[in-house]
Amino acid sequence: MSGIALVDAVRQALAEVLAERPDAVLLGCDIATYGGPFRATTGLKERFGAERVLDTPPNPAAILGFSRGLKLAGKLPICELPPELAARAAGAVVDGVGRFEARTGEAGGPFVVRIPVGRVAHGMLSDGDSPEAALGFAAGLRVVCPSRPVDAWSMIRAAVDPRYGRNPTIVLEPKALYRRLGAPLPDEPDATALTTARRARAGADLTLLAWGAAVPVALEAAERMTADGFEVGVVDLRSLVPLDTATLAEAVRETGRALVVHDGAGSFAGAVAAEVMREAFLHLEAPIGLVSGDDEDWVVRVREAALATLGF
Amino acid sequence: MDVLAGLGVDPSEDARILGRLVEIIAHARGAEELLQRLARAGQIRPTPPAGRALAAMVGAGHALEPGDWLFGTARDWPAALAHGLTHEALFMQAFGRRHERTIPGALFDRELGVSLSEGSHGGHVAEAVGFGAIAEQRGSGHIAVCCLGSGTLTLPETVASLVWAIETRARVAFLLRGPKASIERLVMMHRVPVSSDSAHRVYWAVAEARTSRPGLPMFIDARHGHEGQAAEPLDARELQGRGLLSPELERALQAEVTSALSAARAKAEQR
Repeated sequence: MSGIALVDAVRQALAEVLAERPDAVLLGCDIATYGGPFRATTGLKERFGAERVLDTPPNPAAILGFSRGLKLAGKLPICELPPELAARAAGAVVDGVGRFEARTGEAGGPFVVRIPVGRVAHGMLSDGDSPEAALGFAAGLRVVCPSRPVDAWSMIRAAVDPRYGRNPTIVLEPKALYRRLGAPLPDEPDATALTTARRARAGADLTLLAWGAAVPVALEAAERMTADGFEVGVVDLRSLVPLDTATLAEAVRETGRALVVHDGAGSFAGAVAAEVMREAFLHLEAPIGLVSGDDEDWVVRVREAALATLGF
Repeated sequence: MDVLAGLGVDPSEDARILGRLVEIIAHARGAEELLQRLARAGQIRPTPPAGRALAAMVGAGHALEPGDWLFGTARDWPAALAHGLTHEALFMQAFGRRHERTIPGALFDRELGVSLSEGSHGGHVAEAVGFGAIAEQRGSGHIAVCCLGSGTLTLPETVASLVWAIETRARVAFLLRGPKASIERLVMMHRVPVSSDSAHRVYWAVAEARTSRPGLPMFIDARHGHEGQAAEPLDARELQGRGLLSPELERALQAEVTSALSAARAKAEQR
């Protein structure tokens, strides 16, 4: 398949922002000289200079503090937090961005925090961390999680555009999807990726609700279930805060059954299920299920959970 | 007055500054007393006292010029007062009635250049460094003053921030205030410099730590440059110098290493 990988879409978005916004500064641990742990920033220091692409120590609270200082000095900070510290980073974001906004009103318009999240082969001990569990309830933040290159590109581009709101934006980038190819990028970013869910697959029997790395898994499970005789729909949440409950509830009302597919432990999935139940309670024909990816047979587990939700 | 001459300060100007500082200190002491009384009466939240650090805070705050920024914690309000914050603004904040988004204790004023956070756990140090790094880049001449105590010094984000301040040549003056504590002890630590290329030297440094100076920690300084590989295999050379490592023995050792690693890798790949 030709196209662009998610990590390349991220890099392209960052390069475009740096080119268009002279006040934009990238900062994070090993992102300048090394090009980032996943190479999302490779070549940007050489292209835009060491004053705009900065290496920092690997401390989430300090990186967010530097970013606040940059913001007070009139810059547009776009920081990348260390992936191995995703759980600690979530706390730092709540403390360092949400509360800074509450205290000063200066964090927004714009302030972008990128966090590589989720499990990946040969990953680190903390890979199962699910920062959305903490970030999903923080005040004053916008939290998004792309599953496609075009969404990652659109989210970063739109996050720095004040036309689309002033809240600080946290982009949770699934490490497992960094090298996954998607369709070539369009000319203009799709700003709806920042605030709305996407109906990724239509289906009349069951709705799978997923975000980030769980989306391709849900799509594959839905495809396999065609052979079982079921039409399974998939909704890609994209925006976790705000949660597009209207789209989620609409999809669930059509099928009467929902299964939340998520990546990692202690996740945001419970909150998603509660919201959907509130909005579509009278249409539900079965309890909403939750299935997490914690082994290599994730697609198989999703199919089994989906069949259970369908009463088999 | 040699210092003043060096700075090109007219002694009469200095007398004026001194007079102004005495005036601000009097105001700050009065405000501190009132804040403490109000806190004891339960009318405002408890405010950490500036105490003996008050004069230092006032001096730092008064030295700031337009365009400079003050970073600190809620305790550092006397510096903000000396930088131009009004009594009214201070008390509105203390009662949680300043702006709609006020947090009692913390102070933020973009126009004046004041950011005193509450419960920042060293985050304000990082903020100061971020601001100071950009001031250096721009060559604006502005500086940040960052107030911190010895407790903040022990936090990982503070250490990261201080390292980054050096890396970026950030224009920040750190005011270390409050009671003497851990930072004093740090400089008392016994420092032993060793080469990072010599396991032998480090071994004996650790052995020294075990046997000497009971109760005192040791700081073994084995830092090296940015090159990753050892500049020279010092230990092997030393062994050779003593006639205990012949070229034949060295080759046999290398063969043993290669063989052991190949076996381990093959076993792992077969699983």
